[in-house]
Amino acid sequence: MRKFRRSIALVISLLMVAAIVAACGPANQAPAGPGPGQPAQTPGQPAAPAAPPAMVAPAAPDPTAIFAEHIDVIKDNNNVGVLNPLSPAANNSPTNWSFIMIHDRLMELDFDTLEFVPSLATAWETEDYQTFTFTLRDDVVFHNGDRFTAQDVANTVELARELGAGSQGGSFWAPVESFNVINDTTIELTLSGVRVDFYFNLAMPAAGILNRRAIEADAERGFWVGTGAYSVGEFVPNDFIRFVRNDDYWNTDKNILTEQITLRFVPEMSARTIRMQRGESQLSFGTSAEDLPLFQAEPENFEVYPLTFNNPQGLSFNMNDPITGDHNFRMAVAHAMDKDVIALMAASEWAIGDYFTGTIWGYNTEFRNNSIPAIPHDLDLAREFLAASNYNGEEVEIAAAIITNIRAAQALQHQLAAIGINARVAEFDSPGLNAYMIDPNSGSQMVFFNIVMNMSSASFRNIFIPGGPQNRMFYNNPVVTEMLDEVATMLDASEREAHFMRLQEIVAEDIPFINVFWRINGILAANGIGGVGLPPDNQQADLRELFYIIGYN
Amino acid sequence: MIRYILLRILWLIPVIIAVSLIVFSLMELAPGTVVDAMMTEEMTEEAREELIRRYNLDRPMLYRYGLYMLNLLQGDLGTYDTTGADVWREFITRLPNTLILSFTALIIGTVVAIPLGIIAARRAGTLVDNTVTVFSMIGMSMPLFWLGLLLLLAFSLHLRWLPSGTFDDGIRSLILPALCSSFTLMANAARQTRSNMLEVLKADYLRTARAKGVPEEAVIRRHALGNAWIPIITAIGTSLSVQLAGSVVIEQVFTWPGIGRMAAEAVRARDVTAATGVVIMTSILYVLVQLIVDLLYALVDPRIKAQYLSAGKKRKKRAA
Repeated sequence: MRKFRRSIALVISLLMVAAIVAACGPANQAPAGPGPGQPAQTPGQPAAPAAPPAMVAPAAPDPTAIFAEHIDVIKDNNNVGVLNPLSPAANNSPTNWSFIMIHDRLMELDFDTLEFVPSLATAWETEDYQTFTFTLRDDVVFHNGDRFTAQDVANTVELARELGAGSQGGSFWAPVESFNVINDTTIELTLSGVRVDFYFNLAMPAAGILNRRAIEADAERGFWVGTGAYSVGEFVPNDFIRFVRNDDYWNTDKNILTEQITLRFVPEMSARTIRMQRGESQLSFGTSAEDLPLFQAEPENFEVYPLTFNNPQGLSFNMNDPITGDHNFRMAVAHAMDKDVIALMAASEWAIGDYFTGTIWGYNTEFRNNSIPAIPHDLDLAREFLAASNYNGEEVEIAAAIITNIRAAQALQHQLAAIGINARVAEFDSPGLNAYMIDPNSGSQMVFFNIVMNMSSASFRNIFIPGGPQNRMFYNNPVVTEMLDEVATMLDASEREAHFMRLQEIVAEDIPFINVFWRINGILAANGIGGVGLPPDNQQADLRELFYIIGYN
Repeated sequence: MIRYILLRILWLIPVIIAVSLIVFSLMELAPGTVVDAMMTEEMTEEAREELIRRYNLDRPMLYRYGLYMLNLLQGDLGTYDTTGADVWREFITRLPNTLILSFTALIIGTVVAIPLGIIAARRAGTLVDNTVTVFSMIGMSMPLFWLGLLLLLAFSLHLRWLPSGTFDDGIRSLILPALCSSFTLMANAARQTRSNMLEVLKADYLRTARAKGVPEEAVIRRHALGNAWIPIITAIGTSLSVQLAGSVVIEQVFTWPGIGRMAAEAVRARDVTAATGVVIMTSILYVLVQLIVDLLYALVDPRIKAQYLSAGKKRKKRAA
């Protein structure tokens, strides 16, 4: 009898375990091959990084279509803690997307042509890139009913000075030394020096025009008041933001079709997937590459849009370190790495090794030099360079923070072992890695990360000059520094272009950083979703014209 | 009794000092500061240095800790280093969500666990007992994030009965996180109830009660369970304290806007003020729950109540 009971207990236990295992299986079997929406490029194909679609749209908005009143959008745990462009904490992509919804800027950047288009300013001029005159619209009102005038631009400049230390908004307005409000629709801004990239500053999401009266009345919610297409209905920091359509929006050229849009931050990857599968959310910027095939298997319900960001994932070298500061060692690493394999290991089909060019430049940044050859994967050459270097078999470190880069670092570790470099991988979280790389005494040697590159060539000053906030390599080439100083005051665009072309060649020869792979981000949308602006700059996804056609197929 | 309660509340002072010092030290040891977490490509070296000065990161940790404690003495938990939001306001906004989740889990756990434990003890060695034991073992050993994902897959995705989390769907949103949260408590309390009941069921006074003709139900309810309550309350109280202290995992899996997520975000952003504030408040909650548990002992066990009362009488006698 006792044996029988034990057997029954064992059977029950096994059944429970089996039930658990069964419940872990995928909801639908993923297809073996590529599905619709999968990126056209696969590792190894010699093509330029995919230009992202400017807009995600199944069709032009049909006037007879029934549009959803509310759309739920998922973002990952890269969340919004504050909606204040003058706060240093307003530093990530969803915060910038939110600013685009609620604050208008003087001008916007057309990502296809890299030209500036009017927004609150209808015209602008400068002769010396130091004094700028802006003509403003006279038909714009803030969410609180205040009329927008030139004084609001002046107030924004002052607020940025008073409150914006260390913030994106503060840094964009920082070059302004003085202003002159000529009348309600004209303002003149004078900078402390020549800034050929000033228009780029003004087109950034955190350079929106603020309402001083609202901010003085409420130091927190006052920053939510803008002139944008949407106002803030509800904001729970780090959880969600509900945007409510501004029915008095001045820009009638835009199709603002959805009454409410919720931008939601879901920390758990599986929960993001389930929300989309259940239809609780209609658009996701945070579905993991591993789960995307589930949706590609349902083309009647979902579409996956590939988006390549402007900046590649790459390997930086500490130029002050005796080993990684050695040019021969860096060349050995460059030849030893198989970028396609690293891309595959890091993000399966959703990344592509960068064998396009050897330049260290955003693919959509102005003045990119595509004629610089990439360093080929060649183990014989790698061994030759290593033999000529001062490497003596000691352990070198590859640091990384996010999971994609950690996997890439592990793949590189194995590839370096093939030529006799003994590497170990050190894992950090993002703030930890930032601190580690900035500290010149930390002993960091190689780091897998992505340098943030925007569309403006002038932004590369931050990357290549000694002490620049993005110069985590401690790169210091006096020729490059001098060229960057010179180019900052060059008014002629063709001269600047020639200068930057040469500069990229010098930096590529120095090889302080290797572009390893381009990450292809799968933006997941329920069929019927459209109107999403997807610029290569991840900071400026535009959800203002987002719509969802009910019953679309 | 009142003196005992006051004494326990006074114990909060060293607890707060110790907890805040530990959090400050751990955050100091972690690589990176709040300024590193806020770095952007536009942040110049000058701006970075200004922020370092603003947050007193150029001063020793003890200086920052002293400043924090001075504010705390005035009842001020401070503002987020990152966003400038008021820590107390944020905590008090999120606390009800965690309380709802924790108490719902407590109710589910207790209502299921105690009868299960009693049944298992009364039928010790049978299939029922073995099943309850296996269930308890699974409940205690299964990681909560794993269970949470299983529940999401089963009830939210496959069966489509319940939403996948967040706070939007009223009581339906609560069911899965509460069920998941109650699982460990259920397993723990069922096991505790079973083992205590087994011990009590062998006691002489139960045999005497039965011999006197007391019905079996009354024997179990009044005599057996009455004497088995203390360890059960301890188990439930400990589980509740842990849940109140922030079920980070549950709140992350189910996107539940409670204090667990608040703490996790504060640590991720290296926000020492927010992290310390939320840990201090949850420590206070922990101590208060333990105090309530101690007081419940007196309620369910007349011997403990008598101890409290006799201690009070002795003091009065000495004073006289």
